[in-house]
Amino acid sequence: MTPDEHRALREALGDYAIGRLPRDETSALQAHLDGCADCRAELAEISSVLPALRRVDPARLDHTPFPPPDLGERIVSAARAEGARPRQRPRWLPVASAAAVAILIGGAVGYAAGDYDGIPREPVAVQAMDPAVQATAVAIPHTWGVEIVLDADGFRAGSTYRVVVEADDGREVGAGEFIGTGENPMICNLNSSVLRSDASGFKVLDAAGATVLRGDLTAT
Amino acid sequence: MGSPPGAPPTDPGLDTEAGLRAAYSAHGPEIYRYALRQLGDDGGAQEVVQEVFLRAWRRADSYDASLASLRVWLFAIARNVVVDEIRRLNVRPWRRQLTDEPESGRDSIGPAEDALVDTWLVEEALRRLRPEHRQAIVQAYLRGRPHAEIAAEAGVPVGTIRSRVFYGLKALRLAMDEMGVEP
Ligand SMILES: [Zn+2]
Repeated sequence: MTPDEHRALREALGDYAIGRLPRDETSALQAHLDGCADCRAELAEISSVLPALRRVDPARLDHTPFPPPDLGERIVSAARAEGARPRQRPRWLPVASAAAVAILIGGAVGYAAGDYDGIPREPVAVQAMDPAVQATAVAIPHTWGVEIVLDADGFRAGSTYRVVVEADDGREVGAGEFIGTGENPMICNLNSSVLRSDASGFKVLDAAGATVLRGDLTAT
Repeated sequence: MGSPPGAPPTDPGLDTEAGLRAAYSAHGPEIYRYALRQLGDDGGAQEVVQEVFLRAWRRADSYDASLASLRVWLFAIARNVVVDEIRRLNVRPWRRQLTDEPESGRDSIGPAEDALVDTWLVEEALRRLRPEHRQAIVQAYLRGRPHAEIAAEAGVPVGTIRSRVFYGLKALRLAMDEMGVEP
């Protein structure tokens, strides 16, 4: 098969995925898919958007709502009225190297316990299933839900982890995600809509859904 | 991002007015549309956007660019603010008529809302595509029009529409990845 012929087959995957490929071309493409892992992967990738895409109302796309033009200035004025925030550590530093992460995070460890913004921070007992993971955590009860601040290292560098807060009634509510930093320490703020009084614990799950770390929130 | 490699940091912090303005112009309109979709109410959506950026301003020092993009961080806040707002609407029944959901006092975002968020995300992702890619997907897939008709309208060969459908779907997947949507 020439590269041009292969490109034609590959580009036909779009029509095939949306069910618009003519019947006489479909069997040839299906035969090609059987023997071409690249095209199978391509098909899986583009097909993954279809379930959500099907629910889009095309008429909505013709109309893009925008906030009123003065909203940005109103927000800046409201922020100005609250006054300047105390600058506690450098932020928004572009990450130049792994060492930079360690320095940035290292500077923050000092305020990981005690009061912050007048809201109490409650130490939480954590248990890591993976011996590489070293972690401490605090819980912050907000009016809108509990926040977990995780101070840890040893989560596999580059891997995505998901955090869920467990509620007394058995619900598991997502509190966000983070990417492991390997040996470099990290501090991660995870917000959930479960109120502190209703929260019994939290779990850090790896990409496969396995629990890597548990935190106990039953202590009052 | 915009700065050349090795240059000193040029981003103003989120706790400065310049930084707040920059963050708002980059992400404010999208957060507004998200809130509008969730609440169905323009006034409520504006309040949500204001609250999101004020919380971000107050907590600027807990934002760590090495852990999450600013967009992902702002949307984590936005999700919380919207949940608050939905809760608030629930305890004030006279405002319930402004929104169709949620139908109960649950404080979590349930499956129906998740589907709504997914749909909204795809709409935002579609808005980021090149117009010819978006048009090919909308006309061929969502409106189910024949390729020949779309091609004639656009003044291009039929084969071009096919390749636009393919590259458009690939670009859509990429845009959704950048928006933090799991496949
Ligand atoms: Zn192939």
